[in-house]
Amino acid sequence: MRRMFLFVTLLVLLAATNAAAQATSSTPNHSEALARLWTEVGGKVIDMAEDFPEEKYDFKPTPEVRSFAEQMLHVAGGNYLFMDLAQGKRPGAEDLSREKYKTKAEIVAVLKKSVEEGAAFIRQQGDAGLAKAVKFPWSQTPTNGTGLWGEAIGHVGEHYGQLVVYYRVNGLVPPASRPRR
Amino acid sequence: MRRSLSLVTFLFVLVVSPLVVAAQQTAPAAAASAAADLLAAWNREAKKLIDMAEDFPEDKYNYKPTPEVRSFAEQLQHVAEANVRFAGLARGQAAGGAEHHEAAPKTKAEIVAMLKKSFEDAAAAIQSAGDAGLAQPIKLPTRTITGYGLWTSATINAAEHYGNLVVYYRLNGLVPPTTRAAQERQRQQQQQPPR
Repeated sequence: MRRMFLFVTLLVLLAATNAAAQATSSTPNHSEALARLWTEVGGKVIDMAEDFPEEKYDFKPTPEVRSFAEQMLHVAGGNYLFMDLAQGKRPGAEDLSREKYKTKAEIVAVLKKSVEEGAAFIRQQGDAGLAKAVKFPWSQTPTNGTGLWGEAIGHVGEHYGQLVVYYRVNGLVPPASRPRR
Repeated sequence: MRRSLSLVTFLFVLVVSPLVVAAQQTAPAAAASAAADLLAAWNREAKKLIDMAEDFPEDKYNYKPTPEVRSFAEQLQHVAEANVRFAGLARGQAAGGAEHHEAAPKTKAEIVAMLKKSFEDAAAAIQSAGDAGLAQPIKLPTRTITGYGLWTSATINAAEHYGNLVVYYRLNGLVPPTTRAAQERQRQQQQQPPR
């Protein structure tokens, strides 16, 4: 049973890697693969933001960590931060505070926007753009676009993973874990 | 002020320090490559999960936050086995072809060893593929991906389970090792006189 679970999970992951490839049946280049995975993992977080009951938005599993809403705002803010860094800008002072984003609808909207803009940015960069060095304003350590977006995509994944447990301890099943109809 | 402080912390913890570490671990500062980037991201997630596996008390290894989900130990076994499966696909084994099972309960030492080995073997696969290998197509039953896409998916999988375990830590009143280290660095920086 468990073996089956693992196998199915893996297939779903891999399916998502390349869902759009069926249209062209071509092998995606790196920027396209990255944009699709970005959209997929971001999409899972958006699904949660849309699905989670608004009255539980301030739930936190322990007092010292981010609430559900703060997690969402942190992900959205992080997405913008990585976009700024990718352009060699100092991160903007965009304040994604719970005080400013009061409703579920506002949080869903800013999260969606950040994921969509990130995907558009990656596609617009293309493989050539992603191979270029990225300079950080405060560090001499060089990286490039694939390094930066690899970090960004892992960041979203880590927060998705946290939110899965926020769901479970509320007696709820995360949208991606529900049986498919 | 609180916001800007947390932003600086965020930047340091998430962006600067891992990149510094990655730069120290990998090649001299020459232009990074897709393979080097993947490897750096892979090794970052690996370290975070292995640190947890080593740090978490063995008597809590069977902890699960709710009855229907994986225990701490099962999470780590799941990640290790997924890593093995990803490496198999990358090496050209057919999907679902490899003998595979989430094994019977193991000791902490066995799980740590299994997890480490799975990350190291996968890192070796990424390294030996190199940029050219990672651009090669991998045919799955219904579609074709590349090694680059495969390993990015694998990294996301590890990151998601790391995220799960962060909350397992917190629900046990414990602070995850990566967070503890970041808090310690932050304390030291605040104690240094301004230059």
